[in-house]
Amino acid sequence: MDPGGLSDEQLLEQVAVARDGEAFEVLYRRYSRAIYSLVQRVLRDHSAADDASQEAFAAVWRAARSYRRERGTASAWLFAIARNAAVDAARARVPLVVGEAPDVPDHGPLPEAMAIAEMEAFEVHVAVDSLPDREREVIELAYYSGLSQTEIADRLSLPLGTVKTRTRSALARLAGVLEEAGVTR
Amino acid sequence: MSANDEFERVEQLLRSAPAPAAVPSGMLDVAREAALGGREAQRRTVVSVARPRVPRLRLGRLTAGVAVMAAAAAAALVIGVGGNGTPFDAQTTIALAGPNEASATVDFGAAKQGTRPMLVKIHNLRPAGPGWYYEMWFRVSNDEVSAVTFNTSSSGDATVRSAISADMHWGTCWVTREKVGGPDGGPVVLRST
Repeated sequence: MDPGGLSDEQLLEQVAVARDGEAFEVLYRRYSRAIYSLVQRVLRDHSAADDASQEAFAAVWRAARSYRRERGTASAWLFAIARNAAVDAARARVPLVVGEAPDVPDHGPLPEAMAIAEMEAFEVHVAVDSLPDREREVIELAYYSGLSQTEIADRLSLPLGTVKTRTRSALARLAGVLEEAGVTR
Repeated sequence: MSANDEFERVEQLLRSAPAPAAVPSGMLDVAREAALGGREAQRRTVVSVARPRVPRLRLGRLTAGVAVMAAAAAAALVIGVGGNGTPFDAQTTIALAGPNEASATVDFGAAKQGTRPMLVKIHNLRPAGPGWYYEMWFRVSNDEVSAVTFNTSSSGDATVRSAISADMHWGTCWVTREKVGGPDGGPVVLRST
């Protein structure tokens, strides 16, 4: 069976049971950008992000047997694996110096809110990467590069109507994927 | 929720999520090596076995301080030996290769007094990084024997002299990147071709 047609959950099971390298590579292609972006946000360092991403994928291979469908989606499991790899790398990098922490209130976002934001960003990146290329292209130009639909039409040499159609189609597809992932429920 | 509400929610998520980072080229190779490298190496056939068991030189399990000293000693050899060091009479050579044109050769000299000298030359392998080192392994029967630890210079090169037991016959050889004080089994960065 072509592993490209399998769901994430089926791929993880293939990796766990059959130690299937092709299934692992399909998972990599679906999740590499989301995982790399997540560890990059946590670590803020390209070199450290390289190492942590590498460790995350090694952990996926090692720990695939621990995945249980009934406990959640493959995507949530992969998010947890990647985040743990990033947090472990961050802890290893920063020596903990007790007694030097500033005694002032932290007005930043609460850890829970940050975790939710990280999870949402991860799912959004996975969802965008699941789009057909031509739809992903317009979404990335619109939301990541900040181009207007007219500018996208110019950039891609497409009629404005086509850009609008692709954008709407992409948003509908994203809504479905994100709802399935539990983000927009 | 209406279609428009759904679209608005999706747009809100797209705007609040930062742009994804570009995954470095070659990351797939590295990830593949990290995950599958050990398994691929284990699949290879052992050429010959002289003894069923070989004493394990488990440098990777030494304490962090000793591992650092071993890496430092290797680094010193990089400086001290280089390509123009003491002549080495190689009887056998094996080649290793890895992602991003990383490569290595291992020359084995004549056995003498129970040991066989070994000269390892590494090219294009970026330094392991602070708190990390490289470790070379041989598969002997079903055992993984740690042969030497080292690091590379900023140019990615290193030359390391070591020795193995004279009666050790190996099947495959590979190099892993290991964390000082961490468990063995780091990602494979080079393996015999």
